[in-house]
Amino acid sequence: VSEGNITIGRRSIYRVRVGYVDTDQAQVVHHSTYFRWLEQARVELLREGGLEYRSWEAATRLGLPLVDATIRYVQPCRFDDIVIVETHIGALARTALRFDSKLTIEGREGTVVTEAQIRLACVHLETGPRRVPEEVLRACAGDDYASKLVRHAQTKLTLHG
Amino acid sequence: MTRTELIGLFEKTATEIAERDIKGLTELTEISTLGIDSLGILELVGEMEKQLGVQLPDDQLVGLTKIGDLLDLVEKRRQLAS
Repeated sequence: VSEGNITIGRRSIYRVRVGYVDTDQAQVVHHSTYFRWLEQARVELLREGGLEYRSWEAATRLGLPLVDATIRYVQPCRFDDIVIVETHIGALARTALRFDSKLTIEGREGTVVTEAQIRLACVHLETGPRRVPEEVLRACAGDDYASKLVRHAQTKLTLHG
Repeated sequence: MTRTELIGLFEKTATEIAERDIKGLTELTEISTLGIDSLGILELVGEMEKQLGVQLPDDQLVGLTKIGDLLDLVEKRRQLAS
C-alpha cells in the first residue's frame, strides 16, 4: 500500500459481456468502449454505497464530471468475453474523487487486461464547481469518510506503465 | 483579524496549494489570475474556512472575482456566526 494507491472503502465489481458493437475493425474492444464500462462501474459503486446517481443528480442539480483520466491497455478483450471491472476509491478529497479500476476477463481473473484511474470533480449543472457533498463522500467511503480525506494534490493520477 | 491579515492568510494558503510563492496580492487582485484552477480555489476556500472557523457556502462563492469579494463574504459569514 503506497500513498496515492490506497484502497478506501469496499471494492465494487461490475460485469459486462462484450457486445459486437463494442469492438472495432481489428476485432478487439475499441479503446473508447472501456470508458463507458468504467463510467458504469463508478455508477454501480455509488449505488452500492447508497447513492442512486440519477435521482441524486435530479434532486441536487449536481454532477460528477471527469477531469483527469489515465488508462493502460495491457491485453485486448474480444466479442463475447465477460469483462470484470473491479473498482475502488483510490483517493478522496473535498474537491475530487479518484476511482481506480482493474479489468480482467472471466475465467482468466489473474491477468489484468486494462487498468485505469479516473478523477472526478463536482459541479452544479448551472453554476459550476462545488465541493463534493457529504452524501457522495459517504457513498464512496462510508460514514467515517472524514478520516479518509486527503488534500486535492493527493488525488492526482498515479498509474504508471 | 484585519483585512490585511486576511490577505496574508490568503497568500499563505494559496502558496501551499499552488506549490509556488504567491505574494503581493491586494483586494483588487482577480482570483483567476492566480494560476490556480477551480478545484484548487475550492480547496483554498476550505483551508481558509478551517483557519477562520467559518463556513463559506459553495453557492455564495459563485460570481466572486476579486480577493476583496471573498474577504467580504468571510466577514459577512463571521458576523452571522457571532
